[in-house]
Amino acid sequence: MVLSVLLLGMGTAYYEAPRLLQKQMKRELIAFSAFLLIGMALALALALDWPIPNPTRTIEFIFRPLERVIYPQ
Amino acid sequence: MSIEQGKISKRQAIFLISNSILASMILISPALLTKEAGQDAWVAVPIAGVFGLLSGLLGNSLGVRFPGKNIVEYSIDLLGPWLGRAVAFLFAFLFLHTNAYVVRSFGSLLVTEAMPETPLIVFNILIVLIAAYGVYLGLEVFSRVNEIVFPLSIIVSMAIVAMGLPDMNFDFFKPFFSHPLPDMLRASLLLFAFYTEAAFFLMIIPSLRRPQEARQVVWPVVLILTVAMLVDVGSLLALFGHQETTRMVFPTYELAKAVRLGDLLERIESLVVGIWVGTVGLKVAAFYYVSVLAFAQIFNLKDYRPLVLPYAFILVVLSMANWTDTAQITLYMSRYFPLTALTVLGGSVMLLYLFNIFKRKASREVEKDEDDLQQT
Repeated sequence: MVLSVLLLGMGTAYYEAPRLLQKQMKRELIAFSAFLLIGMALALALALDWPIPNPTRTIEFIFRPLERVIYPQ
Repeated sequence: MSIEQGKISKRQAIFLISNSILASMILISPALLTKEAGQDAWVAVPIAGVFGLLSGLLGNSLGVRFPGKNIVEYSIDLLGPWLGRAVAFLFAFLFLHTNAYVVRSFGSLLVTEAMPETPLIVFNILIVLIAAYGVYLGLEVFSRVNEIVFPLSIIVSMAIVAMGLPDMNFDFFKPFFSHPLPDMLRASLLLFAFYTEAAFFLMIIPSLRRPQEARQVVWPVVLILTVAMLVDVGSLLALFGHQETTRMVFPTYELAKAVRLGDLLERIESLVVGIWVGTVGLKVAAFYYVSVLAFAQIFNLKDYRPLVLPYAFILVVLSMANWTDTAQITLYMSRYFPLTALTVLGGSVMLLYLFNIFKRKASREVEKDEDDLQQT
């Protein structure tokens, strides 16, 4: 699992980065690397069963009071 | 100077929006509607249609004021570089999260109904890959595909419902209007939340061949959605009754399972799954495109394509890790999704609308002052 994630990430970088370097698109390269790092970190965390930031929990926490009002328990 | 060079026609826009709302609405919502409103669930559909129409007109009247710009660009213009980017980020992130939800619910449909022995992640990766490929090719490409797939899906659905007609019992609708208004409103709130997903169109208006036609998109979309959902919910109620529908996880799929044409044609649900892979894939592609484009513009990039592949990693992981089981998926959809979508999408559109009004008033007053100065 971990190996396949790493391979996929490297493949993505190999596919995308040379073109960006060639065209001198620095901003795009930075954004691409940042997104790829976040994505790889998340994918590795999923593969290794580490805790993953969960926006759904946050949403549920924020809207719980409102949900209590609107929906009957 | 916008990133996207492709242009789409009015009809492509109508089909794209309708498909992007309908694909998962028809998949998930009927059971939740009957849970809230019982046999009166069908009444919630036109109520939500009216709300959807009003919100669509409001959102579009914001969009046509800035014909050459999408919501990220004018949010930065109106609210300033930081607050504007924050609003745009929320907008893009909501579509990322909703997209993860769509991927997850579709993956779990395939696992529970069609291929129980395949791991969930396989389906999630495959559908995200289809969508990523479409997004990489650009808006025009997947809009054109959608122009073929969406009418096809409607025709197939209508044929299936027609085949179910002999088994339907319309006594299941009685007694009429036995549920109080709050139940109806709760049910239509859920549908309305799906309608607010159409806010993704605010990113696409500049890519219309004639952006001033954006207003004319609202009516057809609402009409298509209302009729499709009425037929779907109505035939589910008539075929199964509301109690049985409520117990199902994917009622529309059960509908396809139940119908048959004499002894000739039965078990056509694989056809339905096939069609759904197309429509849901296109929905995921549309949301994928919109949020990637929004992220690219938040970071001032010249092209959104570098972000497409890394985004696929994030999307797959979120779709896998954010929901633990089917019960939580259903609970999230029935309660938290409507509130979130309404607050974030409705809130950001309203905020921009109000700022636009204030700004125009302010600039008009400045002009007036200048005129006064010139006169004196």
